[in-house]
Amino acid sequence: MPDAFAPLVERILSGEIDEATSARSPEDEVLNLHDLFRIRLLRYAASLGLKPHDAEDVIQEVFLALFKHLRAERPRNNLPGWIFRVTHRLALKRRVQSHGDELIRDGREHELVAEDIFSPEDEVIFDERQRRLRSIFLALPEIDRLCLQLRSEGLKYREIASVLTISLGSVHKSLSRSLSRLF
Amino acid sequence: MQQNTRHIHQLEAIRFIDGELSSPEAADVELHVEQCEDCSQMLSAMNARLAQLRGAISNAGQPVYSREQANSLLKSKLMETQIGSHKSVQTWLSRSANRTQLLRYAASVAVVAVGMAVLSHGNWVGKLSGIRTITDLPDKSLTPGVVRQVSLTEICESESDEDLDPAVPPSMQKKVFYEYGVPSARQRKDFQVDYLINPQLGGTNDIHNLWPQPYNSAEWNAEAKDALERHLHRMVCERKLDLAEAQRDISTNWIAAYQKYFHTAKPV
Repeated sequence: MPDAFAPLVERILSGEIDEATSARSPEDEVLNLHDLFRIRLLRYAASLGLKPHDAEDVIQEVFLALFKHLRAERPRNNLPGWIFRVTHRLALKRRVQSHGDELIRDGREHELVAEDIFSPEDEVIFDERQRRLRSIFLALPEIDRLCLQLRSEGLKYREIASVLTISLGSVHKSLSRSLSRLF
Repeated sequence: MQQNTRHIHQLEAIRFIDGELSSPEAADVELHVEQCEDCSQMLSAMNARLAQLRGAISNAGQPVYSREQANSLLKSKLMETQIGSHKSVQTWLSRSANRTQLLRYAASVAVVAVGMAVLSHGNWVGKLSGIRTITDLPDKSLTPGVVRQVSLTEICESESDEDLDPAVPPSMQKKVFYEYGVPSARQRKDFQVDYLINPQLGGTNDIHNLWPQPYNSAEWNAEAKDALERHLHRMVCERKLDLAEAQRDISTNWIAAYQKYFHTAKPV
């Protein structure tokens, strides 16, 4: 899934550009951020196991919530982090609604089994190296997968901690552990 | 880093990439990286690894809508949100031609509200003290939608008549109009009481599944909703859509559901 806005999004995530200080109306701001982040958020929502339609619904809800947030003149520092945080929360909620008790496995309630993320058809398009990476990635515990997913989307460690509501130390440990296994 | 000859450890490298180091610490790292081949390669490798990982997992999450469709859907929702918050004030103010009319109307509302409070029973009371603006979407606090246990066989077995929704009894219609504060003079003239989730999709005739749909909507009118109901019913019976999902979509926001399933921003 190509992301034509990747260079611009990277600059926003790094803080080089602050979309929040633009003089646009809240509606324009929201539509602009939606354009820039939608594909990444769909990827993240899919990594949480949402079906494509559910993921699209959740993303729409996220940006509607963002519009209300901006219109109410609530804090606008680090909007990308806010967007991922709300996506995480709403995606989990939708996942629970959609899957119910199917996810209770091995005592890890509501944790997604990794096979749900990719379809068998995806196998044919990966080269060997990617297949190896993906198989290790899929074998990781969910929290490690999510940390890696968010990191690969350009979020900083503090932002990942905020999205997943875990400590910064836990993010450090998770990513160190995962990257060691992957490479 | 206190000495720039000390190698950078992994966490430090990550904080450096994230811009989390203080200026002196970042300067030390930069200086060390210039002089240390191993650490320079380590930093480059970290970025490369993330790029490889991104390539391996980026295929998940294929979009359903095109960019234009998604933007159009969002714009509609933003407009609805803005209309919903402005209309309740502006519509009421625009209707008040002069102060005398305003006072007379307020007085009559107060009288009726007192009367309704005296007559109220059960779980429905005329909400005339809170003037509601009826839009193309129901008030979720009044009409969240109610479904019954129903099998696919039951809702799909009859193909002969596309419109199997039973008429809402007049007594129930009256209760719905009272809930929404619709004046008597406008009730049947300007509105029809409609099912939010139609019976063919498992909806019931509970008052929380009924709402007054305006006749005068140019775009999002009863015809559009009927088209959506038929379309969803067909998809459910052809096993292309879960019944629960159809019920959820139509009850959450039937206009957004129309745009989603017909892939259009406006009714066809």
